[in-house]
Amino acid sequence: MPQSYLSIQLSIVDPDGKDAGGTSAVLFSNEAHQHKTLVALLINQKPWSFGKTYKWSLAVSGQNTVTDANDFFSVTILY
Amino acid sequence: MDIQELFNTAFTSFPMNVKFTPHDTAPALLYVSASAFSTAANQRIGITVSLDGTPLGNLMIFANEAQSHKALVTQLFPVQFSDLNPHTLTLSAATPYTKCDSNDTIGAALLMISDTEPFIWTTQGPIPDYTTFQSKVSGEALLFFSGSAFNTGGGPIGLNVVVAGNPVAISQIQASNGSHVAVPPRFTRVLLPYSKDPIQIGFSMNSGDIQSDVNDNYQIALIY
Repeated sequence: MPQSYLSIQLSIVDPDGKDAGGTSAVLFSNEAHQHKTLVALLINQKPWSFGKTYKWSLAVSGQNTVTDANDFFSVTILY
Repeated sequence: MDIQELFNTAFTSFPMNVKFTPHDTAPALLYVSASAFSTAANQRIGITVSLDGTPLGNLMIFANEAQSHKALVTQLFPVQFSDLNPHTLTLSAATPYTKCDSNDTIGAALLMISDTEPFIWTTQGPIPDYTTFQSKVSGEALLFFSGSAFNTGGGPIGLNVVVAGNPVAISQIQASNGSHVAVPPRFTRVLLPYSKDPIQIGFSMNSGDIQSDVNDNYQIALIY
């Protein structure tokens, strides 16, 4: 839909399924059905525990946000 | 690398002043990302970033369409604080056509880096365009890059970073029309070759359909 707030949410959970951090990328889109570059936001990440496996997931969080095979995603941890 | 999130917030009004207190006096890179829109078609728009009243640089994009929010080309700015007192980041319109409203998001963070000075190249199109740097390591470095381009007929845009003739990283966006668009900024690990001589580094596109001109802005940073 036009005039929609686009948002992609990165969620990180620990092995117990508890929230372990995350961030989002956002943009207000005036046009419908157009691929857009979102504004990437850096965040203070909660400390990791060595040896634990964390689950990362990307999901649309804006009501009218849609992605397809033409969209690209990149996630980087800065140590 | 210690990272201090300064703010990720909705735009208020120009000039937008945000106070923060740095956690460290180490050399740092200030990461700023934002969106904005133009009041008229075919205009450059952007945000000027100032620290304690001193301009650091601009985040820019060429807006083909009026009244359409666009991601600006994300930038890193080298900074270092001599104290841990409050400082002020000021965001102001870089051109008369630049507008932001509460639908625009602005984010800033400090990346504390080592005492080894990073290589930072900030330039304008057109690309391909190359410069040289003297590698300070033989091995891993953190590469950051950002930029914009357009595809006349719409379609995929791939921006390559090329080191010593070899593509080492790409950022891609599916352009829906022939307008200038910022590619998503990327941080990625790269392996740098040992060389006593300067090494070529720069930008190229991954397709002949992609175009770039003087209205496109680019940045490469190598962080050791």
